[in-house]
Amino acid sequence: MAQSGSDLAAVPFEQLVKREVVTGSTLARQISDSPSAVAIVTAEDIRAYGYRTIGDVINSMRGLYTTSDRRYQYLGGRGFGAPGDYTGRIMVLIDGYVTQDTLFNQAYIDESGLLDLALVERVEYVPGTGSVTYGNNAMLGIINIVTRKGGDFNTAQLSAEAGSHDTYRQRATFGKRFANGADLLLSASALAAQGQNLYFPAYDTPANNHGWANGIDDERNQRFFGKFSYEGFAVEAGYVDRKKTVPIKATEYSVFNAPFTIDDANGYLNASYETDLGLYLYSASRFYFGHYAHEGQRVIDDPTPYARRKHRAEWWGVDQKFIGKWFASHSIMLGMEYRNDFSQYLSRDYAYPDGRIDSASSVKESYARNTASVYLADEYRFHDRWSLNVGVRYDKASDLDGNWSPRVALIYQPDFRTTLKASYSEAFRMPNADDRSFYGDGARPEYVAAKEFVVQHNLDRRMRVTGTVYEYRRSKQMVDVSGNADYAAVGSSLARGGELEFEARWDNGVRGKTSAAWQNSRDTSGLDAINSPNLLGKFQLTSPLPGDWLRAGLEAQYLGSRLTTERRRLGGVGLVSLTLSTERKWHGLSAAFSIRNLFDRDYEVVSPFAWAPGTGIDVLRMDGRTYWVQLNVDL
Amino acid sequence: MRALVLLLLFWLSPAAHAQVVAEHDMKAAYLYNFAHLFEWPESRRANFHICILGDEEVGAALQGYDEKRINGQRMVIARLTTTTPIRLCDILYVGAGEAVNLPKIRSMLGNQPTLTVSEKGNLQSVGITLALENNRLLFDVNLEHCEKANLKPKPAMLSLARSVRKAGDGEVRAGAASR
Repeated sequence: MAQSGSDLAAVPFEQLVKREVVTGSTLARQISDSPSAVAIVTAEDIRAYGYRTIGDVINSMRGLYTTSDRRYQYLGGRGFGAPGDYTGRIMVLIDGYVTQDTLFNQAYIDESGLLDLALVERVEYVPGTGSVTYGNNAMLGIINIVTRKGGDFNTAQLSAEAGSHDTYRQRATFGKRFANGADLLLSASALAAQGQNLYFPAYDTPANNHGWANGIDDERNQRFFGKFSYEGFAVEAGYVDRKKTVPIKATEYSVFNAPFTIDDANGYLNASYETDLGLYLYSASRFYFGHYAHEGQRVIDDPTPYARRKHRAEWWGVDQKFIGKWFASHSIMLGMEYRNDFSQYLSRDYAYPDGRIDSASSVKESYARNTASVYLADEYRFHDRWSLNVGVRYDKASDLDGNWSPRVALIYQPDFRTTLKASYSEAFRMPNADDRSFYGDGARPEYVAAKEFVVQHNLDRRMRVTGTVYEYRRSKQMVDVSGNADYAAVGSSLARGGELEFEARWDNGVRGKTSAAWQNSRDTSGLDAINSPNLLGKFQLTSPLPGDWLRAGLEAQYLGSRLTTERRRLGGVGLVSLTLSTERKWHGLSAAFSIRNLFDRDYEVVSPFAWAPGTGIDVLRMDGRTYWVQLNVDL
Repeated sequence: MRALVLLLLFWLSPAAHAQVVAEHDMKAAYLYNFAHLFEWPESRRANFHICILGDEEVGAALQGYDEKRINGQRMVIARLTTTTPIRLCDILYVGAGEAVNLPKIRSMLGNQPTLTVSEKGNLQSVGITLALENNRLLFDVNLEHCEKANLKPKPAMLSLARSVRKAGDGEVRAGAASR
């Protein structure tokens, strides 16, 4: 048997030094403290496979997929991903800061997201509920983004990108680690894309320009990011403003082929201080501030043709966490958080062609909420090979009853190569400002209970297999009980599935990953859930090319058949992309070139639109083959 | 599901387990032994502190040694997150994740009797480095550094080292390493 830790205490040192040692795995290890099957994408994967948004990263992960309606990109997986669900119910964290806006709980994963991928060190997807640590909205999974340090750049870098459909991006980044240990990273970037003329078969009539939406697919964004750390102190801020013209007819009353513009701005400040208070107590203190603003204007068929939205939210919070390690077999965490969503402002109105607002149509709503939370967890290693992880979080919001989110997990490591984890957890989601506006006093929290079993086995230090089976039971979902917009929190749904992944990383620079995921989910009506493919497959392989100057990255993704909102079955689709990137810098220069949808597959995704059944509006055609090139220079 | 079952069978099979020690378990065992293989200055503390910074796995492996005794002192394992309390450590292991802070650690500790241990390549700033070579865990001793900190390695320690670096010279190979 492989010998474990403390048995070695009895071995004399002169014998110990002769023992054979196996090295730890060369594969990336999870940072997130979670008893689920974490998927990891690192900065080198981002380069090798030419990822440009967090959405691209998510698409590459086991069991996940994204759907775009040409407004936003939405995440799906493990039975969630119904169209129109603003990627809510999952949480996206940047260095510990919860990025969702407080109006819609939307996680921005496309070009409206906060970060340039060049600033990302790793992305971890933690499936399962995270309410035990994060409270509200961590229902179905957590995406943890860790940004790079200034020292990782240690230079000023300029970058330029060009892509299909007249897409250009410029970025300037400065990073430095100073001799006293202080670390600084500053970055700014701008994206401008012309977009395409797009054909929508569902609107192919002479009155609708024969289904063509021309010149209304442009997109722009500006991003700013900075962080500074010294000793245990860190301060970080990010801002993004994305403007997009949307080529789709977004509502029943919208005019097709008329400009529909959306503008989303997200910003945050996160300041933290961590320290060890003596040898056994770790403390992390954090203050955060968040800002979100949305403006939208679309053309409708009405005497007041401009339908406008103007929303704005701001919030701040403080979090204090202690981890006590007084006992060898326990690691006890105690934390408190206070969050104040002091400004949640929603406004809608309609304007005449001359710009006058129809005051009768103007709706202005204002909400606020503050939430106080405490959380407690213990990691109890009650045996060399066994540990028990128990935790609970209590959240009390000003407008809701208090809620407990428990988690219990049992972890068994029969040997140093293998880990088994079984967990049960409950999580919840408070109605957000948009829900409160839509459902009024009927808005209620929604719940999920999750069970998961995970096996992870390192075949050797280069290869790892991960297998998982899970079940999610959601309850108290809002459903329309009479069919006449008569909503009540009585819905429940069920998702079950399994995932299997194989990863390898060889010493010659070749690495690969492949996974398959099966899911079976029933929605609140008891029927097979919409836009929830039964099968998802991923394959990634990257290798240096002869000469060691270039690296090739090949990626294939399979999105299985799934149902549209009209319960039509869309066939499965396989997409391949290829990326070439420089393996070494040449006089500070590096470059990458990618082809997406290499075989130019014509495919459709499920759309959120349901007002004209039978016309084909329940699907949207996606892009064919596209190209992208990036050039970086270190000054 | 079948794949999962096969996987379970695989790790249950005897072939999957070789007569070997995992790297982090071995590092933990070395740190435990180092505590015995040095002559420590008189301490006023009741406990002997072994601190781990920047390596969760070694930290977890060392937990098994908690409360063992070193020259009458009770051994205590501290898994640190920051460098703040390192002046309380008798042995400080600095894993790869914190190696970037070695210059700062060195200046914080000054000449106080703390034995610093780190990975290969950092010998100039610590007392001992560990290196994996041909499936064996080897170690190098920076005697100059140890002497400044008033730490005396026992003869057994030096004879088992791969190399010993002395004051004023580069590297002098110890007897055992030339076998």
